This record gives sequence, C-alpha cells and structure tokens, in this order.
Amino acid sequence: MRIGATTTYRELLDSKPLRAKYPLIAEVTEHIGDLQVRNAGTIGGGLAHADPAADMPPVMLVLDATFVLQSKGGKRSVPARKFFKGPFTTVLKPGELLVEIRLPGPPKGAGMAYASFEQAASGYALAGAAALVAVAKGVIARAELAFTGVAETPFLAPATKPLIGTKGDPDAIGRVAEAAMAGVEANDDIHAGREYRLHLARVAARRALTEALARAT
Amino acid sequence: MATLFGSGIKRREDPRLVTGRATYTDDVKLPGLLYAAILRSTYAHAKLKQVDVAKAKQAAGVVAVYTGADLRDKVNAVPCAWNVPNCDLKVPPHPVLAVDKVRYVGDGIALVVAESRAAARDALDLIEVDYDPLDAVVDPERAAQKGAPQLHADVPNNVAFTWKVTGGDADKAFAEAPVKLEQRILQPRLLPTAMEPRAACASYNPGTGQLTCWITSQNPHIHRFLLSVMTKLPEHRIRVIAPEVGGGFGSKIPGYADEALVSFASLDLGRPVKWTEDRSENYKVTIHGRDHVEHVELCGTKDGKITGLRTRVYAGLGGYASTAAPGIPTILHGLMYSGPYAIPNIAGTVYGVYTTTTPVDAYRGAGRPEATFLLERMIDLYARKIGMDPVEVRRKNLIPNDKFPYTVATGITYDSGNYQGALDKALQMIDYKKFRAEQAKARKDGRYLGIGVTTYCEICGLGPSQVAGAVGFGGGLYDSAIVRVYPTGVVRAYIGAKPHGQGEETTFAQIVADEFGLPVENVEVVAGDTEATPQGWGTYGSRTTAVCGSAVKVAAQRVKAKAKQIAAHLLEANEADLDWKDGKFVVKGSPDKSKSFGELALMANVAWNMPPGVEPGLEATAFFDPTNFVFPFGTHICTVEVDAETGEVKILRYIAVDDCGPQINPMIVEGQVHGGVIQGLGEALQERAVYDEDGQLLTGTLMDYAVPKASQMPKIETAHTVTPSPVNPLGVKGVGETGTIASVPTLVNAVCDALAPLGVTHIDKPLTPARVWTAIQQAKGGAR
Amino acid sequence: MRLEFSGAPEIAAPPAVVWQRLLDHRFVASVAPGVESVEAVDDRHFKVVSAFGVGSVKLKFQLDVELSELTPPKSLKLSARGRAPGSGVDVSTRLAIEPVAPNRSRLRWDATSEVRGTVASVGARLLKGTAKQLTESFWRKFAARVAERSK
Repeated sequence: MRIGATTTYRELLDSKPLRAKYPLIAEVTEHIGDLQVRNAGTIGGGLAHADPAADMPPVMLVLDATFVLQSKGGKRSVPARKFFKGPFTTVLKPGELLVEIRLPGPPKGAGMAYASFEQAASGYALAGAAALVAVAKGVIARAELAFTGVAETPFLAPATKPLIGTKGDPDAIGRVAEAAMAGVEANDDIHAGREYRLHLARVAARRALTEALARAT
Repeated sequence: MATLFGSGIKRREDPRLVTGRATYTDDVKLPGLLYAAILRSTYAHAKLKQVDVAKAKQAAGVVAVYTGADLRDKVNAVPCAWNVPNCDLKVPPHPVLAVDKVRYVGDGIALVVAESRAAARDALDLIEVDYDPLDAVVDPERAAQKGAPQLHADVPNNVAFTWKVTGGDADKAFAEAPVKLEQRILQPRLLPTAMEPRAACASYNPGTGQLTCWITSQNPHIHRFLLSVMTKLPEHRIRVIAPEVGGGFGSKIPGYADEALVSFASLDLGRPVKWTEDRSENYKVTIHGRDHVEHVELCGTKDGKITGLRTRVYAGLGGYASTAAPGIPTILHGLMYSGPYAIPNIAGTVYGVYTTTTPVDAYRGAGRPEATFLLERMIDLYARKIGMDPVEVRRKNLIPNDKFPYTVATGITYDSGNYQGALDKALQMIDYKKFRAEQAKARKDGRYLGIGVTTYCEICGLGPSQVAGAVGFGGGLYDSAIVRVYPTGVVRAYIGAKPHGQGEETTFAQIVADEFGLPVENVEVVAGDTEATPQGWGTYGSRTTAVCGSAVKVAAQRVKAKAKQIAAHLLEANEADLDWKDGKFVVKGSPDKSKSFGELALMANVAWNMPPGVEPGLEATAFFDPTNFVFPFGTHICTVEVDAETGEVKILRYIAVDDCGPQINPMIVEGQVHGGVIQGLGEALQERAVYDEDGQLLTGTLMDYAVPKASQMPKIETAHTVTPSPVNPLGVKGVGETGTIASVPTLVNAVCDALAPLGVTHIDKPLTPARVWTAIQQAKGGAR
Repeated sequence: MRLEFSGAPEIAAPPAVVWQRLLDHRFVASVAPGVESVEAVDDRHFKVVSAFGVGSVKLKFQLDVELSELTPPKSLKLSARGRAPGSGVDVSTRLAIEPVAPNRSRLRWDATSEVRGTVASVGARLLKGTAKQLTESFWRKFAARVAERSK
C-alpha cells in the first residue's frame, strides 16, 4: 500500500482499505493531537518532523515501511528503519521532501498493537511501544517491537528472537520487553525521569506485545 | 408570581462570547494606534551594566524606546497595596522598568513603541543588554537561609515578612498530647492561565488632559487608583475600562508595570498605545500562584480529638511584592487553620520570601486552598496513625451545628454552618460503607482503590471594610450599585464589581427583575467602566454576589420605596395601604386601583405629578458593606483506582456537596463548582510550574504546563445544602473558589488511601504517574 | 537550563593539525550547525550568526566567540555568548588534544551550556536532546573533516 505524504490524519482515519489492512495505523492516528490537528496535519509532515516522542514513527518501524524521498535531482527510497537520525533529525537532505510512504503487506494473520503513556500537557508519549506479532502453526513466526518517547529517536527493538517459535507466554514477553531496554540511554526531563521512562517503556512493550499476540490469528 | 431567584436560566453573556462578538482589550482599535513591546530579562538575577537602545531607536517603524533610567523620575514604582501589619513587612521598590538589577526572567528592561506590533517586537532584538549575572534562588525556604543570594539590599535573608497567628496554647497542647505527627508539605507554584492573556491600551487626549486605559482587569477602580499612583496623573483624569475579560483567576487583580508603561508612552507621545502579551510572555510575567514550603505538625488524643496545629510556612513572593501578595499567605491562609473544626490551639508562622522568580499573588482560592490542603492532609495522616476512620475523625472535630456564629482559635467568627449535614449527604451519595467493603475486596485482588473525604469551610465574600483596614488592605471591601429606571420602565444596574466569566450579568438581572416584577430581559447589568459605575472593589475572593449583589438588592429596594411613594401619591392612598402584587402597587381592598412599575417609571422620569418634596427621577445608589465575611462549606468525596504498576490515577467518582446559601441561579452555581473542581484536580494531578536552579522557567508553554483537558477529567456529581448567611440581605455565600479549595486534598487523600497497603503515606503534588510510581518504589524500598 | 555534554572522538591526524584546525575560524564555522556568517574581530574573537531550531521554534543566534587559555598544541577554551529573540545562551567548551598513535589524536571536549529565556521555557521536553545532537554532531563532524583534510 502507498500513502501520499500529504494525506491528512483525518483521511487516514476515513480510509476503509487502510483500516482493513493496517488497523494499527488508524488506531494510533486517533491518538495524534486533537481534532483540529488531525484535520490539518499530515502523516508525511509528522514523520519528516521526526519528533522523538511522536506516535507514528514506531508504527512505521514495526511495519517496515519504506519512505520515498524526492528532490530536484530525483527519487530515492529509504527504509523507515534508517530514516530517523536524532531528535527532529532525519536523513532528509536540504531540498528533499518525503513524498510517499510504502507499506509492505503485513504477514498473514499478523496482530498489531500500540501502547503508550502520554504526557498530560502535550499528549506526546513519555514512552510508547508498537508491536507486530504473526503466528503460524500455533507459534510465533515473527515479532517486531519499536519504541517512541524513550530515547533520542524512535527505535526498533533488536532482540525479539526469543519469542520466535514460542507461544508467547507472559514470561517470555516480559523477558523481551526487559531486554529491549538494555543499553538504552533513556530521556530524562521534568515530566519523567530516566528510571520511570524505562519502566514505562517495558510496560508498554509488554502490553503491546500481549495485545498484538491476542489479535494475531 | 414565580421568582427568578432560584431559577437556572441561561447565561445572557454566553451568546456573544461563543459567537465571537465580544470585545476584549486587544480588540480595541483607535486612530493613530501604536504598539508596545517590552524587552524582558533572560536572567533570573543580574546587575544591569548597560542597556543600549541606540540601534532600536533607528529601526524602521519605531517611534520611541524607553529604558528604566529614562523612566526613573517619570513613572512611580509599582505599589504593593496589601501592607499586612505587625509582621515587619518590607516592600522594596519595584520600578516599572528595571534600573540597576533584574530579579526574575521576564523582568522588564526596556519599552519599544512602534507603528506595528511586528516592528515593536523586531526592535527588541536590536537592544543590547550587558548583564552581570548573579546567583538565582527559586526555593522560598532556601532563599530565607543565611548565605542565599540576596535580591534586595534592604531585605536581609530575603524575608519580606514574618507573620504569626496564635490561638490557645499550642506549645502546651503539643507537650501534653499523646499523639503527634509532622509532615513537610509542598504547594507547587501554579500558572493561572486565563484564556485571554493580559493586555492594556492607553489613550491620552492632550486636549482634555484625560487618559483612557483599557485593561484586562478584575477591578477597574483599583486599577484606576494604581494607575494614578504610577503615572502621577490625578485619579479624576483617568478612566479605566475593563471590556470583556476572558478569565482571571486572580491574575488580573494586581497592578502591573505594563499598563503604566503604555499609559506613560501615550502621555509622552500623544498617541494611543497598546500592549498585548502572548502565552509565553503571560507565563513569565503575569503573576503565579501558591508556592509554599510548609512544615506542619498536628497533635491530638488517641481517640481522634485534635488538640493542636502548628505550622512553619515559607511562602514564595517572587522578585517583588505584587499588589495583594502579602495578604494571601497570611490573612487568607493562616486565619483559616482551624478549617471547619474546633481546634483549640493553633500557632502558625509564615515567612514571605523574595525569590528570583515571577511575582506570586492571588490565584483561585488564594491562601485558602493551601490551608485546607495542609489541614485535610494532616487529618488523614492522624487518622491513619491512631487507626481510626478518617471520616470519624472529621466528624468528631467538626464545629457543631448549634454553635454558630462560632469564633475559632485564630480569632475569626464563622457566620453560619451545617457541616454535619453536608457530610452526611455526601457520604450517602457515595455509600461510604459499601465503598470501604469494595476497597477491602479489591485489595485482596491486588487492586488499589482509595477514597478521600474533605470537609471544608472557607472565608470569602470579602469583606467588611473596617476589617480590610485593620488587616492592611489598601482599600475598602464594600461594593456598590446604581439601579437606574428609564422612562419606559426598563432598568440598568451599574455595578462596582467586574464579573469576567462568573455570570453576574445574569444573576444580578435576576435580583433586580424580581424586585420590580419585570421580565429579566428588561434589566441590563453594566460593569467595567469607571466612568459609568460607582466606586467598587472588583471581582475576586468570591465576593461579587455576597457584597455587590447585596448592593444591587439594596439599591433596587430603595428605587422601589420611591416608586411606592409616587404610587401612593397618584392613587391618593397611604403607603401603608399599598400592596405589591404582580408588578403593581395595589390599594388594599380595591384591586382595580393600582399603578404598575412601568407607569411609575414614566411618572418619575417626566415628573408631571410628583409627591410634594420628592425629586424627579427613579434611581438609587447603594454602597453595601457587610458586617462579616461569609463562610461557605461542604464535603467533597473522590474515589480512585491507582495502577500500581504505572502510577496512573483513575478517578472513579467525584462528589461535591457545597453550601453557598440560597442559590440565585443553580445552573451557574453548578458551573462554578465544576470549574473550581477541575482547576483543583489540575493542581492535584498535573499542574506545576518548574524553574531550574538558575531561575529559568522550564514550563513556559502549554506543551509542558498541564492545564487539565476535558478528556482527562471525571464527571462531577453535585449536590447542595442550603444554610443562609446572616450577614447580607440575600443570605448568599460565595461559590467561585470552593471547588478549588476542596478538591485538591480530596484527590490526594484518595490516592494516599489507595496506596496505604503499600506503605505510602504522603506524595507531593501534583500526583503525576511518575510521582505516584516513585512514591510506591520508595515505600517498597522502605525509603522515606 | 544548564546542559553538559562531552565526547572524545579519535581523529586520524596528528595533534598539530587538529590544533591548527581549531584555530581556523573559517574551518570551524564550516562544520558548525547553521552558521550563516562568521567575522573575525581579531585572531581570538569572532562574531558568528547561527540559526537552528528546537522543535518547531527556529531561532537566529548572534554569538560572540572567544578563544582563551591556549596551550598549543594541547588545550584551549572556546566560549560563546549569544542571544536570540527573548533568549540567551552561553557555551563554554574545554578542549584537550592527546596523541594516541602516530598521526592519530584524541580530541576531548567538555561543553557546558546555559540556556536562558524563551528557548529554555519551550525546551523542557526538547532542548536537551536537540542540544546534545547539535553539540555531538558538531564535534563528530569536526573530527571527520580534520581527518579528511589531512589525508
């Protein structure tokens, strides 16, 4: 599926094909900003802005989206997983625009979920986790997990492998959630200290993985 | 005839507000209007070595630039108007623009006046300021210690005042009491966040020598006086207009340098000048609220009788003493330490302390929320310590219904009350016993449910002018109304107060229309223009209805008395033989002989046939000065569930039972309770202004300062009891601040109750998930 | 708001070359973020205009930069005091160059920034990360470019 960069959040919410194929995108979009922001804001604008606590980037990471970037000189494609470089910083060069988001078909029967804890003033995530879990023959065949709000950029958890081939019991999920924060240099600000943020991220990871697994068929 | 008093008619001010047809100060546009911008300090504390405005003066569109040195002899300092006696109050000068030192981030340094707002703002960047940075101090307790950075040369240890309240013998009570406890309680600094930021537009007419100043004001007559002091223009040559005012919560009471600056510029340039702050300037410059560090001790018996309360409070004042600042943590705080309870021995010491922060003044509740919070928090801690139900402790100490008027240990006398009645009603609504049973069951399942019960009373309806004088308030606290009847029988009431969202345009019309038997549409209420309204003292301290509403009532009664005289004359009857019925004076026994209010209005205004010796016209002025404050009260209850894994607090139910005496408009009362409760829950759960140690405000926008949103707040269940006040002819008490006063401890006590099994005793506000979680971790680790 | 960052990138160039680059204001400006102009007052003092953003807030800073405490080719202090609308910033960076191998050095940098006014007040959530990014990428880029040029 291809989404034009200037598609508004409202248009995402109204799209039936999107809801059918990537229900997580609609689910997350409902939590972005407020009604006015969703009416005017666009998915491409939000992703290119690269707020380190935005809700959509981790969704793009677990879905393994590809971003099409265009400048006068031509087009190039960059995986979402290589797009975010720092707070408000991406691989976009001066004169280059994000024009399209390409989404590969999700694995058959994959369940997806997002869990986040919002900062009361801005609504941005203190910590949020997106998860995708696909099940085949009764065991987990694929698991993806990504975070936002925790560190300088959204990031994909490198180690979900321990879940593969298991039924995804709570202990295994808990261990993956725990491992995902190993070595992460978490943000520390007036809204949440480092330790609490890491804790929230683990809770979000566990909740997102558990829910994604429950949704997988 | 049905009365309008007690009827929840819709607010007449709302259609223009919600359709964008209201005129606010920033909407004022005048020929030749200039725009002002103010350069503000980026340092919390620094000496000003040099302020170079040469480049700014040359910039396109700039008309004038002024520095503190330019204005030193031309504009007087910003006055403090509540000089609380017997506390060694020190009020150092607060120049309208800093001259040699800046004392908070936002302190004014230079004024630019230009042909456009953009030109004025751009020119600020051309001003070069050479600062010599000094150490900042933001914590009031730390600022009062020896060795802390000193803000003002003549204020040792930054202590602006040391105020004491005593009643009974607290030291003896503590020496003898079997149970004693203490707790350090923080009241974080809050940002009032009125929807409309402040603005001022001044227009001096050199031809007439008159200055007209539009100000976002809760009290235009006070602003006229303060403006006269600062500009040195006599008061009768100043007209202050407060047009539509989009909320204040106390932040639009004080006199600020800003309105004096635009007034001076207009005087100097002979053209109108306007200044409007944006949210970022608002958060740095408009007063903040609360900011106490409190050390509280309570003592009592083992069976729940409170015998003593002691406090030591450090109240942050910011860089300068704002208009009413000294009175807030003293008169409006310390005198309320007994709350609704009979506490025989009280001793409080309040230090007012200057810190390198934005000045602190009245914010919704102003001193009373801090008093109620510390008392209610201590009572829950006490109940837990002696193993008694917190409701029973409260019941045991409430002032009995038959004891009013009741004088508490701090010396003030409560007008009327039925504290048990409100408590019973609220407990019945929540079904207290049932909830305790549910809580016990939930705890077994590892879920954390909690309940907070606050019984409160508060002092408002400010107040008797004699008391105002005795406590150092630089003005009266009576209020005023002119009720003027037009020849066609329609009426205008000109009032001294200045409602800015509270709905008195509607409720006062209800009072007048009732008196004259008119449809409410035939009565208009006019406020906010010192040229039209009699001397009054404004809208704050939940005083407008109790005090100004009473003036309206008295003025209307006087008009009616005169109308009766005229009616008797026209009907050739004795006044004693007239009855007032359905909007007419009717001769007793002769129902066909009558004069309607309309007929009398016409006759009074044309005066063709008046009683001998009676003047033409049908209007009356009343100045109402109450004999006491009013003391509304009630019980608020909140139930919560805390997610111990994340620290998130979910409010299950919120019940507010308030008693503000008879209600003129129950819908408006409910709106005030809702607004107050939400504002208090914001304080309890998520609002906090944060300065770093260098005095930089880190919560400078709405992205970081968490004003509550509708989606974050619970449904509020309201109910009332009705206990009239004997101190005013309406019997009413204020209800604008009760919600803010009662809700904060209610929520915090509920959360602490929920987490009792984990060993959590106290969490400092606001109860963000991060703080709740941290408190749980500390309790688990046994750390305190 | 006070911010402290540090780093110690290795540079494929000898200390003398690194030292020379540090004193070359045009070279330093070419790797610094958002520099729009740089003007030498003398060989130790410079006026720099630099524009960068914190979240949705974009600001142009006018900076006075000073080099002091020079101990060639070992250490120096680089101070910058700047202002932008409603804001001020002071950055003080201590730099030390150590040889680690022939033609290789380590550049230890320790930056303390103090941010004031509007930028500090909008930055509770954003400032630290952005400032860290700007500072670290500046020195990383510096190290890389010095190495590139000395090849």
